[in-house]
Amino acid sequence: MKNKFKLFLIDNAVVVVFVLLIAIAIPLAGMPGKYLLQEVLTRLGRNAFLVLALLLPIMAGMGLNFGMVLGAMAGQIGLIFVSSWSIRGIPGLVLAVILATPIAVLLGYVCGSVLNKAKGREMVTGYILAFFMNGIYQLLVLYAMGSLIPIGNPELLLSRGYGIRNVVDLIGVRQSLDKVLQLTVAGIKLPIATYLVIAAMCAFIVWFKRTKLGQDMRAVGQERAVSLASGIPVERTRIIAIIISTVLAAVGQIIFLQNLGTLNTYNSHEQTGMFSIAALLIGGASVRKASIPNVIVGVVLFHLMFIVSPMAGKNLIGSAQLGEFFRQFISYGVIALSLVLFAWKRQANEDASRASLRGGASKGGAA
Amino acid sequence: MSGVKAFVADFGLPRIIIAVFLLALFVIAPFVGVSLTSSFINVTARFGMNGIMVLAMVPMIQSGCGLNFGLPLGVIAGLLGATLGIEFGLTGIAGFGVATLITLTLGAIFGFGYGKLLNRVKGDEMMIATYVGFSSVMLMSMAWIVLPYKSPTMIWGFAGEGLRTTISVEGFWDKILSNFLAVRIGPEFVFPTGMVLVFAICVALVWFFLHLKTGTAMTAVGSNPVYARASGIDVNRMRLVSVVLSTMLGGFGILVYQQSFGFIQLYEGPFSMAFPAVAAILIGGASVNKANMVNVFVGTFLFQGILTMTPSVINSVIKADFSEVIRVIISNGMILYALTRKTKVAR
Amino acid sequence: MTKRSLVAKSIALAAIVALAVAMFFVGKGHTVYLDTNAVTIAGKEARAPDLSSVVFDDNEPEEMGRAERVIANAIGAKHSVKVESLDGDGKKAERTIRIPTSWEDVSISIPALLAGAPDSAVMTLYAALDRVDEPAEKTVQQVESDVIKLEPLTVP
Repeated sequence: MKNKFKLFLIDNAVVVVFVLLIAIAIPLAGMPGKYLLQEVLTRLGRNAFLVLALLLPIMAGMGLNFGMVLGAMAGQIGLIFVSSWSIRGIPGLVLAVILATPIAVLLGYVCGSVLNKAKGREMVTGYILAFFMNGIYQLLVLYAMGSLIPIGNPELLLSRGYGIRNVVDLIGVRQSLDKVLQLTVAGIKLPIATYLVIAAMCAFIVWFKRTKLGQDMRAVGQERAVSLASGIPVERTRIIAIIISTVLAAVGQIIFLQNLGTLNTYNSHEQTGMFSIAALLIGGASVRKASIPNVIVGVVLFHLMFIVSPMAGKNLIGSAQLGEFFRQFISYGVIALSLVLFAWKRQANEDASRASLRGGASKGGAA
Repeated sequence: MSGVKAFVADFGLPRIIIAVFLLALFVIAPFVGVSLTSSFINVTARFGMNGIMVLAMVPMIQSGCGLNFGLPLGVIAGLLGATLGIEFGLTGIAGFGVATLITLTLGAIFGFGYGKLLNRVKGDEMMIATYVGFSSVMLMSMAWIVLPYKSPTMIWGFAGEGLRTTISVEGFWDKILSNFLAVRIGPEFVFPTGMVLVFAICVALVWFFLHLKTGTAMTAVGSNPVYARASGIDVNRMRLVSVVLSTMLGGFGILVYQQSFGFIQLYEGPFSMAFPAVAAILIGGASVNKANMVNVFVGTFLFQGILTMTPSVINSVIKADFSEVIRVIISNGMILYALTRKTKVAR
Repeated sequence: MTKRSLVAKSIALAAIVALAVAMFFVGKGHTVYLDTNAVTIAGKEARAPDLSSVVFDDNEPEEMGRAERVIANAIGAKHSVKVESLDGDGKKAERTIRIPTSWEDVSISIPALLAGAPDSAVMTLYAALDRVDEPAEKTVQQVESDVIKLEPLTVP
């Protein structure tokens, strides 16, 4: 019994550490419980879809899809046009999704192809690709829009005449999805429509895993050589996984931004990748395995920490800045810890099997 | 003609494009009113400033640990050395010397722990290096606020907590290396002989080390780990040595950078140090598991050349500041290219 | 790709494009300025009552004096405007208007509406206007504007 408990702790080390941290931080911050509850429920609606986008690439064995940032960019481009044309409300959101999807598919295809060329290094490559695409995005949004690409609404442009402003007010679509079915329960606002969309997405993922394509993806994720032998088009399946993930990220970013109501043209997408991945890992997922409960638990825990850290830091040391740094430290640290745990375990397994093959202790195993 | 083709394939099309691009910038410069002299001054200064950090990439590449995205750890060692040196109030060459000693010691300690970690996670080094690096920067950011520094030049003025974001080294060891044996060429150009000399010496030392027994063992581990182990080389120990060396060089590199730049940048400063160094070594011709001294020189020169020339030239031609975006595209594009190439490694 | 799946995919694509276009028209937002400045229609001057109650779509009724402008947000093309004079002369008017999708900002002239003028006189493309008319004693807002010259505009 004690061994099982120990094993549970190690397997879920990240979640456990995190829950402990939060348990300490919440009373330190001294924020009212109702406020925390409202914030968590709002953020759940805002972020869950984005984190769901990460599930398929993990299933396909491609690790954490840092390339989801590309999807976020596509979503933002859609919203920029919708804002420029003053299309409001749900129609505006639908139009943004329709505009963003082809862009996301294209970007997803590029991402998938590049990742296929870097087998074994997918995560770093995706990470760098996101930065690279950020440069292309800026070329497009900071220079081409308004000059080469006509933008109807001059209010969106910088004072120099071209390039989109740093902050775009999305008043037209602000809260459009959230308000469609908003219930207020005991003074807490719940965006039911948004939750329904997220639930639909979860259902889709569950259904997808049972389709042939889904099974192919899972096979590719677990054992590439075997699936190749079984006739599964490995490369193509991996690319499809990335494309779906990118499109979901685009939609997720649109949901995210409609809740916030403001678009930070050059920053919003950068944080999306990091926060979503950190949330997923905090929820107990690993580089090879992630499920829907990980998503929900992760978003709740991550954002709880996000809200309470500054105040906790201020009350503990007297500096809110410290809390801010602490929050970032935790975000990065969680990803680092998860990656390390995963790789450590994997290598320990490899070394053990190699040792048993050799019939003795191995000396400094090579990869 | 096939010789040219082979050269292109080997050297890599992106590198050739970058080299040609830089050449074009230099050629265009005088025609658009950009002073070639001041450009050259800038490029030389930046060459010396950044070179050692690019050099720091070599050991870990050679030993098969990949691109050292965890350079911030070394940078932090350097920041601690620099701030402690100032805290003790030491100036001039003594100050710089003490800072160097502290940096190298801390660098070795950090590198040791970091290297032990990397040995347990073979195959995922680069991703982990990135996030371990980031976490450390954030951890140190908290530390800079809390650590009991007293020196008035470093802490916030009135009601602040902890160290300032940017600390000037003027009066301490500003340009201590750059001005050493400086040669004045013409009315504007002061060649930072000392700094370039130090850079060259470091490169020579590393080159020498790589040709010693330990160094060759390190290279063997990187290019053919199975063979290395069969030859009785302790793979883990070699990797550890490379990480320690890399971290120490990174720490010293930031010291050299700071004495030329004139400022110590704390908090989120180290974030922006790893990527340029990685991009530079790759632009210089290195791959993910093979790098030599020529790569260091060529890469630093090309990369810093582009960084310097692009803003000034392009701004004069088109009235738009593309430079930041171009820098992002070039450095990340280069890293992407390296990551997606088939590696010539016998695995 | 078989011929059947090609046809199926083309239909799906056409449906999505149609949806996008529909969303464009259904969701097009306009800023509507309800305007009580006096206007000249076919030589005759039309003035707003001292005080009137204006209802745009399902919004709360706005009380407007003369020479004022109230902003309402409109999504889509079809909207209703209801005006009732609070001066005691019982003048009323109600109309359903269709805003052309290409117009961003629209001005609805309340006096023109009360005078029963045609749509082209009531609804115009918004331009910064002079205040025409003296506000009655009880006014709610003051708005700066340039001279208005109302010409029958053709709906583009």
